[in-house]
Amino acid sequence: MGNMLPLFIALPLAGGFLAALGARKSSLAGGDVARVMALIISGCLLVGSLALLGRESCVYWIGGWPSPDASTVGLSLVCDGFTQMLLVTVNAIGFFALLYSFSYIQRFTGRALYYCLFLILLSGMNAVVLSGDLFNVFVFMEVSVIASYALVAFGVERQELEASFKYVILGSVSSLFVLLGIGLLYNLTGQLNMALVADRLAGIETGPAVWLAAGCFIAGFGLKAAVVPFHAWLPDAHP
Amino acid sequence: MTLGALPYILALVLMLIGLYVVVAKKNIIKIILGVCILEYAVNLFLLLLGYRHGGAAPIRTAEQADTSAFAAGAVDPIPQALILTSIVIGLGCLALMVSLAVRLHEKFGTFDMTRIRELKG
Repeated sequence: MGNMLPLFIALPLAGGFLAALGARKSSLAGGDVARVMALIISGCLLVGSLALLGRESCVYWIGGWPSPDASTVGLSLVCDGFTQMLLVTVNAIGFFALLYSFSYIQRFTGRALYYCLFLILLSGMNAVVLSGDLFNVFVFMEVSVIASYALVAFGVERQELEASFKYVILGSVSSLFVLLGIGLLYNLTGQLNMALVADRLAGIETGPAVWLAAGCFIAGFGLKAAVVPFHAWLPDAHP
Repeated sequence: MTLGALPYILALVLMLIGLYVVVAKKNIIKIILGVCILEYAVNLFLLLLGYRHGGAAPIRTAEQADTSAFAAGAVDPIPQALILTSIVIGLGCLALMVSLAVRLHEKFGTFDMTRIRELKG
C-alpha cells in the first residue's frame, strides 16, 4: 500500500500544472477541461483515502533510501491511523468544496487558473499530512499556503487584495517562526525525521531550548490555523 | 578565537528588527522589506546552527576516504540545504507580495496601509 502514498501528492500537482497550461488557450474551453480534471482527480483522491482507512500503517521512503541510517538523510511519507483520518478529512472537504465552487466560480474569468490553484492547494495539504519529515512539512505547508494566498486574492478587487496582503504578511511571518522552531529542534536532536526527533527528545532534558521551539511552533501554526489570539486575518480572508 | 553566543544573539536582534518593521511601519514596501529582513535573519540563524569554527566545506573528495574523520571536521551541510530551499520559497513569497503591492497601488493609488482600510479586521 505504501507505493500509493506519493500519488496523493503527485496526482493533484500534475493536474494543477496541466490546468495552468489550459489557461493559455481560449479561457472558456480551458476552464471546462480543468473543471472536469479537477473533479476526477479530487474524486480519485477521496476514494483512495477511503481505501486507505483502517489499514496497517506503512512508510514510503522517497527515492528508495531504506538503509538503517537512512533516517538521517532519507525523506519518508508515513501513513498511520491519524494520517488516514486526516487524509479522509482533507480530501472529503476538498471534494465537496470543489462541487460547491462550480457555480460560485462562474462569475470570474480565468477559471482554469482557479482549478490550478485548487489542485496545488490540495496537493500541499495532502503532503503536509503524509510527510514524515519536519522540513518537508515546512516546504509543503508553503506550497499549500502560497496557493491559498493567491486564491484569497482571486477576484483581484479592492477588498480581496487587501485581505490577501494581510494574509500574506501574517502567513510569511508565521512560516518563519515554524522554520525557526524546526531549526532549533534539528540543533537539539540532530534529526529531521519526526519519529527520530520524538525519540531523541524523550532522551534529553526539557530545557529552555525545547520550550522556545515549542513556542515557535505554537505561534507559527497557531497563526496559520487562526487560533484565538492570532485570528485577526481570518474574517477578511474568508468573507 | 571563539565568539560564544554573540552571533546567535545578533541573528535574534536582526529577527527582532524585522518583526518591528513588519508591525510598526505603515508603508507596504517597508512591510515587505521587514518580512525579507526577518527571513534573512532566520536563514542566518539556521546557518549558524550548522557552523563549526574552522570547519571544512562539506564536499567530500576522493582523497578523503575516511567518512567519520571527514564528518568530524566539516560543517553541517543539512542546515545549508534547508536554507537553500527556504531562500527559494522566500523568493516565491516575495514575488507574490510585490505583485499584490502593485495591484493594491493600481486600485487604491497609495502604498499607505492606513489609507487602505475597507475591511474591519
